Amino acid sequence: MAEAYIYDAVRTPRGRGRPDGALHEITALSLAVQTLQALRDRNSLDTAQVDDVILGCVMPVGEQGSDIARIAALVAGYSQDVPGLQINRFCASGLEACNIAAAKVIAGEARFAIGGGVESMSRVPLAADGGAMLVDPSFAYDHYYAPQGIGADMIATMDGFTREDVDGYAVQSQRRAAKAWEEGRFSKSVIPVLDQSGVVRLAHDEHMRPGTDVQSLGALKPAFAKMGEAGYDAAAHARYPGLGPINHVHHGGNSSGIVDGASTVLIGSKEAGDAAGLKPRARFRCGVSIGSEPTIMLTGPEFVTRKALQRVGMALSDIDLFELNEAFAAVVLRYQHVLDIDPEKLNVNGGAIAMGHPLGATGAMILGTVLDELERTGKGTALVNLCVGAGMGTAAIIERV
Amino acid sequence: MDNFTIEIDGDGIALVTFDVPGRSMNIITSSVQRDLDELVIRLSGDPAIRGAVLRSGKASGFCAGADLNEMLDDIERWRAARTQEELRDGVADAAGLSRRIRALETCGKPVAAVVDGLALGGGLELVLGCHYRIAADKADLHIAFPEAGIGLLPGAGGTQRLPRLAGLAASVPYLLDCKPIALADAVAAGVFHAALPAERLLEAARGWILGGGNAVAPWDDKGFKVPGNGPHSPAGYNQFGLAMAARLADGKTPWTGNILKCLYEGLQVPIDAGLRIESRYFFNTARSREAAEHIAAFLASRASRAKPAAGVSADKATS
Repeated sequence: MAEAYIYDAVRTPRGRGRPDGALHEITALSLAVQTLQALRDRNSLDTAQVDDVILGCVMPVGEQGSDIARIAALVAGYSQDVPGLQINRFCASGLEACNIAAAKVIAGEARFAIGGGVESMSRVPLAADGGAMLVDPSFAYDHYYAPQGIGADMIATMDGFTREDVDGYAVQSQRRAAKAWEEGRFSKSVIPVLDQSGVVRLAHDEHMRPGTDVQSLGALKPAFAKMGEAGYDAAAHARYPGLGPINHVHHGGNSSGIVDGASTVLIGSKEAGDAAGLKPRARFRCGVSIGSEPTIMLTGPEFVTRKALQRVGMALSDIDLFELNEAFAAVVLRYQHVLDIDPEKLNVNGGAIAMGHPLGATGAMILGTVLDELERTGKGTALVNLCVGAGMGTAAIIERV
Repeated sequence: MDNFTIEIDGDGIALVTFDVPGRSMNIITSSVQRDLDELVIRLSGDPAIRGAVLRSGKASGFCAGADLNEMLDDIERWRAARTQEELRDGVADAAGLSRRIRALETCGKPVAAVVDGLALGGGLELVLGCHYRIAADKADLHIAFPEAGIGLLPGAGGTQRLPRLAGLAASVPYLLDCKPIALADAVAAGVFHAALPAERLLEAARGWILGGGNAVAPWDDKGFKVPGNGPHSPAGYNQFGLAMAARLADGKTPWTGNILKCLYEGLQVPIDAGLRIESRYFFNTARSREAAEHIAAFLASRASRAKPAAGVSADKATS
């Protein structure tokens, strides 16, 4: 079988996902188009060599509906021969899109395939796509559905993470992200978003609050206590009878930010790269997903990491850098704790708590982030993963070449 | 008909009096169900009848619901169903009252219900199948769906018509927790069109018919929307989802899950489909081991108390 290589990765900066956010007046389509164009132009890519464009999008309704991947490829000026596929693996959609793209290359079905994602959370809000998960009693009642924030608070409760622990992690994310920006560690991959007239609209992640400290975070009220009390704690207790009172520690400051953004990653075979005169930056070792217990919902990273390592016959110690999407602080703390990961190897440039989590785009964003960091530090191997709604996890292992 | 009498006045208004012989309280027996077939044929087919007013002949109230002893026999039969044919027949059997109430609702003549005492379970469902509903303005009027309390679900339209009147979120405590519907709330939600002094009820019902009473239920109008919208709406996500999770505090039960499913699935389709969905879940619920245990325990406790508890739909209940 062929190997799949990463040739390039680009992403937009992340705009605050609110009407006053810088990217609110830019369509989701435009965000996706700009990353596709950048990928093409930076690599002088003959797009006729691209056999698929796969974009994650978690709210594929309204302007993000109707297979935004195909529409974005057309609007970006790609050859009309290039198909597009929109996929949804909730928060891991962007990474799953890259995993599928890599799998197509490995299977010999694609020469080049682009993975990535897009989400304008300011324009297509959370829950806009509805779904059985939220309200169909066949799932929500029979299988004890609770929203993610409750799951995150359940993890904090079960693993004994205090409010100080999770706020401390959030502060670290902010500091690391600020330092990474200061040192230009993201400059290789972040492309400025242009407005309708071609003027730069946003060139920098907009969500960060570098001055955040544990004291200022301490003033924030727990975001999920009320909904827990009103019903969802009952679902948690029904699923985990011995759980005890839930310690609601998460809030906007230690959870991933709501933002707008897009990302794309160019993946291809060695032959396709050679023919195009491109140099591979990393090899795709594996892309895997798993299912985990759905009420707590967010423990997938541990299990998907184990599965990915097993898949390629590696040990945790073989991984130089870990990237885990900062959905909620307790998710990362649990991961660090149960796998005994050195904090200096995990999310070294901050994450979604500081910079935000544009749902469908994040997975491909952090894949690019960690690749840049491997190159910057001369390291070899990275494992990227995300916790996923309804109890799943998605991971990829890449290795520099 | 053994359980209903009809008197037609000079205006063509049929005064239908519901009075189950030999009982202190109206309950819905198989005999009442057969009579409902006849009543509907008479109302729709008799050109001398312009509309009907349905009232109780009992001082004890309108109707206490299903005959639980009969239902135990039904349940035993339903539980034995295994083949496709047996399942189909069982559902059709379990849908009997629902189908008859729907026939009354679509009989083409305006039907008013007059409630001057308790209306519970199947009795309340019969009322909700009437186009115009008025109640006596008295404090001890007892309006409720007690089914969930004995391991069942309102299977004759209760889970479909109540939310189409009161909205999804507002219906949940009445259907799942058997919360009595306070008269003022019932009027506000449209369960009743008005609450009036008892002595004025009949005249008001007649007046509604004479004034051109509409024989079409709101949910049979094109363009009908569930008040506050269905489960796939912001209110659905915020309120219905939360209400559902909160019920898990008491542990999962088949009837709670199935009432929730009637609401969720039934409110996304037209009324007839919703009623069919409800009948299937009623059948499933009644067939569950948990329901049989609950009903048996209820009947045993009633027998041991010798005197029936208030507010349960049962033979000889007096409240």
